[in-house]
Amino acid sequence: MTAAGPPVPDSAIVATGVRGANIRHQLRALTAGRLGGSGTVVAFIAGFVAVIGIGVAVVAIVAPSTKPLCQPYKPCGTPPRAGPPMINFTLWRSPQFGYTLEYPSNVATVAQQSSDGLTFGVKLQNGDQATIIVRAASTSQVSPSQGVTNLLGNLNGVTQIASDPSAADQILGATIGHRPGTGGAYVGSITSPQGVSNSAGLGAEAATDGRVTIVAVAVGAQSDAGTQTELYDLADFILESVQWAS
Amino acid sequence: MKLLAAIHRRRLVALSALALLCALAGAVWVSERSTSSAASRQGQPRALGRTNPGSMLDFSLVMRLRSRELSRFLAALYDPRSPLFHHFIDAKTFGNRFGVSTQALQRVSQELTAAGVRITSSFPQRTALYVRAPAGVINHLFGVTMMDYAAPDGRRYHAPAGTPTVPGSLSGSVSAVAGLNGRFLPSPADVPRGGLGPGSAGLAYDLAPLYKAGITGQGMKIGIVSLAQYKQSDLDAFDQQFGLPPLQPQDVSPSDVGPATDAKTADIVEPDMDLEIIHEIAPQAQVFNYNGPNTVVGGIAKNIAQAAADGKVQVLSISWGECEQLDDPADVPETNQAIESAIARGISIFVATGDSGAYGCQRAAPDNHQLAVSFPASSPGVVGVGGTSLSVAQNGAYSSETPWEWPLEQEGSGGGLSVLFSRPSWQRALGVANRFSNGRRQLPDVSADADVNTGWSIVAGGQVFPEGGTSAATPFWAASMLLIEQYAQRNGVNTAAGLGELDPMLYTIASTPQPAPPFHDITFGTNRYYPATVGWDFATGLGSPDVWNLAQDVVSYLKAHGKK
Repeated sequence: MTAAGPPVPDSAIVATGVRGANIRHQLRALTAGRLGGSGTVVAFIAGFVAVIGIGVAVVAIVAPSTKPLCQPYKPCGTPPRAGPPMINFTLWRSPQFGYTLEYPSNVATVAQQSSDGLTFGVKLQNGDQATIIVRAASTSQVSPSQGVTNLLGNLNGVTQIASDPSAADQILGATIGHRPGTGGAYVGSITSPQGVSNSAGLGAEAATDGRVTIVAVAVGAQSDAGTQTELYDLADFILESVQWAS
Repeated sequence: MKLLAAIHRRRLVALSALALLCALAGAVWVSERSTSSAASRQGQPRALGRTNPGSMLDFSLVMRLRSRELSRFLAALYDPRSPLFHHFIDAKTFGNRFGVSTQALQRVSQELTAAGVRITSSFPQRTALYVRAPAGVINHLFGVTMMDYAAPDGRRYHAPAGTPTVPGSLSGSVSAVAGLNGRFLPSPADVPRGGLGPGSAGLAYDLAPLYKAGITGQGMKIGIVSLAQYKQSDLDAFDQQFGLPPLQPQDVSPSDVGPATDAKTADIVEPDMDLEIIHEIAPQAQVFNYNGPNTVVGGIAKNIAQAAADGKVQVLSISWGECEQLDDPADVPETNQAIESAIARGISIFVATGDSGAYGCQRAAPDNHQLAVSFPASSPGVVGVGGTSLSVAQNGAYSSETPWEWPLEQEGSGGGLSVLFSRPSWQRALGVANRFSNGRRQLPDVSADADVNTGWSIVAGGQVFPEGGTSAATPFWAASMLLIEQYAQRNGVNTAAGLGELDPMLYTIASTPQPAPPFHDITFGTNRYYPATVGWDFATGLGSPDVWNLAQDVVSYLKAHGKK
């Protein structure tokens, strides 16, 4: 046996004032002495407790405070105060349903608004004009798919609406305000009061948060792929900016 | 007069329709412009006939590697418990250890010469031979018929009818014939235009403490792979606009193919953006532009191989790719072997996962609705970077993020399951094993802002405008990692040779307790199919970075694993 517990025997050795001798021998002597009288035992226990206590106190004062590690994907520490969100565009809130959306007012102008939604007129870079309509209803009354059907059925000035047969034009992963929903691509005719018709492309989307159904359609002349890209870019931006009330 | 009358009539039509709009709810504005045909997003190539047998064609031969030994070496190289951890090797050593022997290489060379095939270039890592031969020789030697085609956009290309077969006498050294099919070329991972107002990446993604500590890329080297030519005047204007030091990239092109030739305004956006974002994040870093023409042989693989052979850069950013299903299967191993030689050397590679969301082939083929991912982002040797929409607070600090998804425009954060690669053993973190998992490699690994409306202010074609796409998120990640490596150096970790393949480290950091939370978890939204969830997901991967926190975690990881 060389040691019963790391520092204690050494401390005891020093405390007894025995120096310059073989450690093994000293340990034996110490052990014999402890067994020899209760006073020595008491003194040893008192010394032992004192040394441990001082050690704990020193460690507590000197050791660096260890910050607890952050667990994967769990909130950690005090979240930074980010402050109010930056709004770069015009913010609109539905008085009836409480959802909000943003739109760039220099590109999209509000042609009509109601308590449930907006109709935007959009002037495209090539001079073409287009429309984005956003409407809302209670989901208990109108499901997303019903909403698309209703909105397309009530479009004034657009006739002969039918599903777009081109696989390349299909809308996959329809969402509004990042909530998955339903949607589709359609074709139709824009007919003026003078009876002149242009072919139109329509992209419709609808989604619900369980309480409110929001439905939207972007309509423009199918003049070239560039104009449709421009219109759909804008519509995507407006529709993904939707913040649901729930 | 007739013309004026026609214009006047069209205006009347428009005004009448506008009046109708104002009168009726839900009415539409109509176009002034009449159209003759509907816009179409699709098209098929047109066969033009057999390629002239005398036409000289460039292609490549994928060389066999000692794949079992290489796999063992790479596993040890990135295993922190291994004595080989981060003991990187140069290109010549790679070739000697894992490539075909010098004698075998000589035999291949003699045989090719005898058959009429000229070797135009090669690299010391011996991952591929770049060759040139008449179409007639190719037909005869590899058992195909080379055909000419016109792509829907008018571009002409050639492709083999039939699958090339390596002759028995070469098959001991050559595994595949690549670069013969020019139908689908890599595309930049999108550069949509429009939007308003630039994001503030440094503030939002917490780079400011690094800048405050003087970490701005001094002494660090980073490269891009580019298949179009940037414009120096745009870089100069960008520097002036944002008060940055001048940026003059060092151009490197594989000698036999020359520099990138594509300098159309629409195409310079990609290299301009890549270089500008890197420069914005790491303004003192030296930037290399590995570039070549966008051809099947001048493209991505060869430029990665060149970077691996040079060993100059610590980090490489690639914003180009193609969906796995449309890539010529013969081209994949060539690129992947180039990647392996690069990460064996310590080069870290970030690749954009593409901008079609879960439908990775849709950009090249709009009627292709397969769930697909992009290559080389799907290579297990690279970090695949997806895209988000970023929201910041009024003070510019990070506020929230959603996956980038534009369903009407058929765009979004590239992510999904690879058909080419199995899920690597290191791809483990909360959320990785989910209801969509099937044992294949999952993408993306990480993500960052890619939405043009919240994205990156750049200068291209002399214009300042906001820009996005996963090709914007990728150089941001690459440059941020370069700063993290510099920070690690500053803290006593030797990262001079680079950190190589980063995924094992990133996934370990994401899945174990860390000094600071390294990623912003994105949990709401989709990439047009896969939802964002707690932890890793197919829309945004591990999340976007808090760069300062990640830097601390990387240093902690490297020190804990004995990297000095």
